[in-house]
Amino acid sequence: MGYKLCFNMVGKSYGDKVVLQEFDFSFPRQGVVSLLGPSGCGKTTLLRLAADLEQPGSGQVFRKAGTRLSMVFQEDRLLDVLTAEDNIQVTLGPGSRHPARFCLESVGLGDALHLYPQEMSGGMKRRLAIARAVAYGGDILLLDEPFRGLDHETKRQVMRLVFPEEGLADNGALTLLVTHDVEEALAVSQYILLLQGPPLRVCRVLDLPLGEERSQASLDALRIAIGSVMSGKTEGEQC
Amino acid sequence: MMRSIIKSNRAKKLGAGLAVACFWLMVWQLAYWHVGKEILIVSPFHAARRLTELALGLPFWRSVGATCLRVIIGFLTALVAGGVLAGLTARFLPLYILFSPLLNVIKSTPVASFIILALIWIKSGGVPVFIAFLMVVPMVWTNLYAGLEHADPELLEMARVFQFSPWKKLRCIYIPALMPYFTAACSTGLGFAWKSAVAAEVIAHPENSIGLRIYNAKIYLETTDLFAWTIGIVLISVMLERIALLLLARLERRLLGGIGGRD
Repeated sequence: MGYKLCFNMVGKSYGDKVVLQEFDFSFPRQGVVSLLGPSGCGKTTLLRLAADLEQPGSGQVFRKAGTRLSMVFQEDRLLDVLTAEDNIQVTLGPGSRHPARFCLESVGLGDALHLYPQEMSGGMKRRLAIARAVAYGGDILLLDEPFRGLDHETKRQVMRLVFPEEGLADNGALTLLVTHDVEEALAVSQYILLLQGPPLRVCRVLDLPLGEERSQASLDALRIAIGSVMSGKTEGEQC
Repeated sequence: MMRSIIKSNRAKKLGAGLAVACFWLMVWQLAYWHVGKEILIVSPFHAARRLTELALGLPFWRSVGATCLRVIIGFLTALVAGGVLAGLTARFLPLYILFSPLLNVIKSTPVASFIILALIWIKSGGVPVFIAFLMVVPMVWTNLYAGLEHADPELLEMARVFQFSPWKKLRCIYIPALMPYFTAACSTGLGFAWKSAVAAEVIAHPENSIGLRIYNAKIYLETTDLFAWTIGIVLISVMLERIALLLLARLERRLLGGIGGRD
């Protein structure tokens, strides 16, 4: 089978709240897929199911056998007892993509190798969490609002590490990026999934042109399409 | 600058400690003057002098050494048993349901009942070890169980995503979460082991024991000896606790030091 990650009629509820109902979607083998949707529509649950941190109530989540997964959580989830460098080093193994120092220097933390998380600012901790996920590498990279709280310049610097090529993550991995920022999604994605919910449903899949075809005009057209779906104007047609 | 602040804080702490000690010694001395009968209460100076005399003889150290050994054996075996029990009950709920009433019964039963029972079951030399063990196990179990329950679930999820080995998970997540609880268990448990083991020695009077000395002092109405031994017990208990906490701090540094990348 050609998939790396596939949701097959997946259902997931928390008590009475149905978050996913017969959710059916096959993700492409590689490329950056942005998940755009309102808060609480079920994006994080989708990532947690993909990461095997939640079990579906019904249906199945298929991951290609031997798939290695890396993740940036909504929270930093750093180990307070370890330095910045050791926080990355501790996750590294035979399949890891980059050395810890390279990733830390790439996100502007070259001078903070020996700092402990409690000695770092919120933005530094966020960058450390991102550097850890990139250094660990993997076939699927799950990013849950990874750039939240970073200023514009830092965000650009970090994005260069995570997405070295337009529309592609490092090592040709499949990357799922949960974001509320349309410009962020347009800047790095190959596909954008416009979502509504709960229960979560895909309203529209936007296939973004790459290379020279990615003109300002095409991006403007996409902005309009995203705006109309997200504001619910076209919900009757699309969702 | 920082060093001088730390030094001055230490000096202040030491000064405050000495002032408090002087206050209570004064209260003791006033009580001695007020009662005026050596058989009921002795002066702190007489008790200290007697303790010094005792400490110059070999039998004192033989008794102290034997009691210390019993306390340490009882305490260490309780640490291991309590730790294993905490791990198993945190992992398997049926075991928690099975063991928690038993441990609650042990916690609420008077230590004297266990000492008398233990005297029937085992030789007098083993009674203090068994009693120290029995009294400390629930304490260690309760503390470590709480520590395991407080291990951050978000970090455990992170460890799952990044495929931490069980050993790495233990070192990076469980040990740091457990350490404050383990330290508290050791600190209170060691004091408790002392008290209960000496109480067991007083009733079981095994050879070469502080408890036997206290028992003899009571039988022969040697109140000065009784006070001297009590001061000795307090001093040794405090020293043992300090040593234990120091060793724990070293253990923690060793366990967490150079953790990055190594399994």
